[in-house]
Amino acid sequence: MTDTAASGPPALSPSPTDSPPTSRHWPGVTSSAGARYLLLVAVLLLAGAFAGQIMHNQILGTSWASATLRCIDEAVRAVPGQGLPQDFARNTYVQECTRPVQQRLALVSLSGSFVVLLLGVASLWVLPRRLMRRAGPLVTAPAEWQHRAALAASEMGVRRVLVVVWGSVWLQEAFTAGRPGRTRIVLPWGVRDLPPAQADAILRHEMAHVAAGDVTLVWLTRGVWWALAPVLLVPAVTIAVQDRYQDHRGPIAVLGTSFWGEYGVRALLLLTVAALVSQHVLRSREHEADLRSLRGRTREPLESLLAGQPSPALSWMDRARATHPTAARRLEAVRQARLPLPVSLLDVTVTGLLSAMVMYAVADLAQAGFTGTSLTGGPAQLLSALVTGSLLSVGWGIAVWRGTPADGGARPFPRGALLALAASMPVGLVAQLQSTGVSGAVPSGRWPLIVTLPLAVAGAGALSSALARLWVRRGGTAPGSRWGWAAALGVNLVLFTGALRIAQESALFLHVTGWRKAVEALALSGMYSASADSTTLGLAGVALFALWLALRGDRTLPVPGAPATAGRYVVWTVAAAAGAAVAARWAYEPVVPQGGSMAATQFDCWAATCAGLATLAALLALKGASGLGDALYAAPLSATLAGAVMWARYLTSWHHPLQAAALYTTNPLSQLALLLLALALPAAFLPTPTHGPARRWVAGLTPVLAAVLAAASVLAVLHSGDSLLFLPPTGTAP
Amino acid sequence: MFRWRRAGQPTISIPVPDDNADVSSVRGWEVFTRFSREVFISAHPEDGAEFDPILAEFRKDPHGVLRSRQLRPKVGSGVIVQSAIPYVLPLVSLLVGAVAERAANGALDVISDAARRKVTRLLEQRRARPAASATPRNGETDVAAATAIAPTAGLDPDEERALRMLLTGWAAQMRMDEAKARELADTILDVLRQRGEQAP
Repeated sequence: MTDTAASGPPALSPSPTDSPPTSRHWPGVTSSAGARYLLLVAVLLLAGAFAGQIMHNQILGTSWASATLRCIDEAVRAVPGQGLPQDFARNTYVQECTRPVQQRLALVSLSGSFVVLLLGVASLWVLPRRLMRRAGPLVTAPAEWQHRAALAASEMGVRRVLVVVWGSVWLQEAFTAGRPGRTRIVLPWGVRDLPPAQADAILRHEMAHVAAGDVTLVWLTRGVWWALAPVLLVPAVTIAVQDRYQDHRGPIAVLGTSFWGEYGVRALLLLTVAALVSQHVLRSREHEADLRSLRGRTREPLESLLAGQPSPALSWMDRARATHPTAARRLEAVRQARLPLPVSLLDVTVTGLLSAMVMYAVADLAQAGFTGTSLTGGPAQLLSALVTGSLLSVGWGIAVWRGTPADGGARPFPRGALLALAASMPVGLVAQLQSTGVSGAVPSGRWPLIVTLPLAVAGAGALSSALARLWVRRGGTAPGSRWGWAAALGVNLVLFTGALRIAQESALFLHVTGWRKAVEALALSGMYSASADSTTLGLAGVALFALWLALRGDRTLPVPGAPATAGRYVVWTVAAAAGAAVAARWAYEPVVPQGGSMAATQFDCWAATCAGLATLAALLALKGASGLGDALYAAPLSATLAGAVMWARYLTSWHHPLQAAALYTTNPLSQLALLLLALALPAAFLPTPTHGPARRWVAGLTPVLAAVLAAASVLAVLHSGDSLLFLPPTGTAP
Repeated sequence: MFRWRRAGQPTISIPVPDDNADVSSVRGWEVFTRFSREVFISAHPEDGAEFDPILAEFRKDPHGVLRSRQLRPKVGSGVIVQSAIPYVLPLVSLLVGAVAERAANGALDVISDAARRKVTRLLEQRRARPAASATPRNGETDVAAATAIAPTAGLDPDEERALRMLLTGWAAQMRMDEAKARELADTILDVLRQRGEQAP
């Protein structure tokens, strides 16, 4: 037995576990566990919205249906005739006419989310209090323990003063809980029998949870989970009671229908997945807390504690349900001493699954809420992309950026994780609660979305990884400053939001054109998209960021003729691809039956796109997957350069030169953005070639390859006739 | 989902001291209280003040230890740190019950009659002196006061081993952590031995 009264906190010792720097900025959000908790909370809240929607249909469904039918009748009478303009006008009329009932639908649906949120937030007070009561009677620990906690807090950057209390004699594990603003560390009596260093290891582990900012998120997630179950039951109970007293039908007759069966299965599935995900994140946060608690400390006390713990063999079911990793697994992670932890396949699967659910549900709600306003359609889709993109940018982006080791980007891409991300998104789309009763068809075209969404999001994931590798290769360390994290978050947000929006739009066009005209659909959602401007801005931002990273490392952008540097071949490749594309475009004048100057402009834009595509292909051929980072700035540069040269050819002829310049920039870049996203996933699987002594020769051949590819692809486009052209009645022309 | 973990219910029965026994008998509360206090203070020197409330709780519900849940919250650290405090009184009670031949569970077969007699004598040294209260006089320790009454022979190594095994087994049946159980058994034997070693 140890006399703890005579002992103080152990002195700081050099840590054998010094790990790469991690952020103290927005710790709860930039922690991968925190991001997954946020995703989980969002999914559970949106499931509440679906319960609200069913309640709306039960109570107000008849008035909603009659109002909608009336609006359709009125539209037919107000706008007679056949044709696209008439259809459009009728649709606009119906949208405006049904706005009140649609907004009512959105509000009632959101009230379901609100109830879940309200109960979840209330549980932040109730659940910890209940736990504290069961763990008590609680007694404030002596000043020595408060001092030890304060010391640990100051070392970990925790500004709040946390009170340490003793639990009951039956308490066997330390934990941290309490209502918001009054978090307490509850220690078991047995801690007093431990050697001081081991007692401090436990205290620091608990403090690490506070430093990671995940304590409130854990309780909120648990609270929202508990709140959702009864909220999901409300519609079923209501309909059963309603039919019992109004139609005199028994609950089995009412709830035995396929809708309620499907609803029950999906609800159970959601709650089970949420519970398992929650357990998984609980396990992840234990690893994070272990490693965070070791910063600046020796790992021996924690090692001895873990080594003394039972580590029984667990079945897969027990492992899935466990709230903690086994002691052996924790010991292994502590000994590897790598923070941040690499992103696991399960982490990514969870992120993809939940993101798909969030996106679909938000889009659904936004479409209903924005009906008849200027925000309907594109903005509603953009909102869902923005919400989901934010969650993905943390759940994938930040986790991968933090997990990318500063090894010069030598390790392969996280290919398994990319595949897991791609595979989990369709599952999320199919399995979500909101799909109840609409398994057959969905207006936005679910089946195309099941193809485009995983491809685009995994593409964004690959590009994000490429940027992270560029960051650590050029910058040396993971983003450490507040601005560094803001930049990382921002660029990931742009990547994922853009990818989601492009995926939604491509799916819509694929739904309209069908798979046989997929190329048309890709052009309509790329170069000819209504969102081409924002897509171009996004790609330009990402490209400039990548270029900044390239300049930051080498300090100077290598130019042709400059002394040999690592990136000289990139500049030559950009120039060669742009030059060859322009030359091929000018050398061959295609015969197009209609369109005239508009067709010529669009061919110019396609030629510029080809320049960017050829640059991408040449860099990938030279460096394999590792070329993706350089391609992120080189391909847009090449396309912009080619577009600028072709625009300059008609400089004296343009009536609106600035508008034309914008067209020559946005069209190629928006198409290139789509192609980059589509090709990034397969590109990540390319092997990285080792050229050995022939490296300089191969690097020298890259511009040649880019030029050949650019010229060949431009000629192919010009030779394809008008299949890639979109010729509206009016347009900007020389 | 989010619940306290329940362990399997132990089947052990804890013999309690006899309320009607003579104050100097090992069957009574007096000897039990003195001995368990010594063990408690030896195991938890800084928690001496906790002994009386815990004893009061034990008197009220001696089998509470068997029903109590071992609290491991889902949001806990995952490192089990058990306190021996709730197990001291039940374990001492089992030992005292065994030597007073009230224990079941085959305990009587494990320790020999000779060992039982020795332990009885060692425990009897804790009984109150006829003319004085159990409280030691000023300047005199509790141990010294009791030793002065009737020195006796200690346990031999085989007897200690058997007793340790018995105590550890009981503790394990009460869901005590193995290492902690061994530690507490050693403490009990240490306290017991203190009297034996002081015997001629």
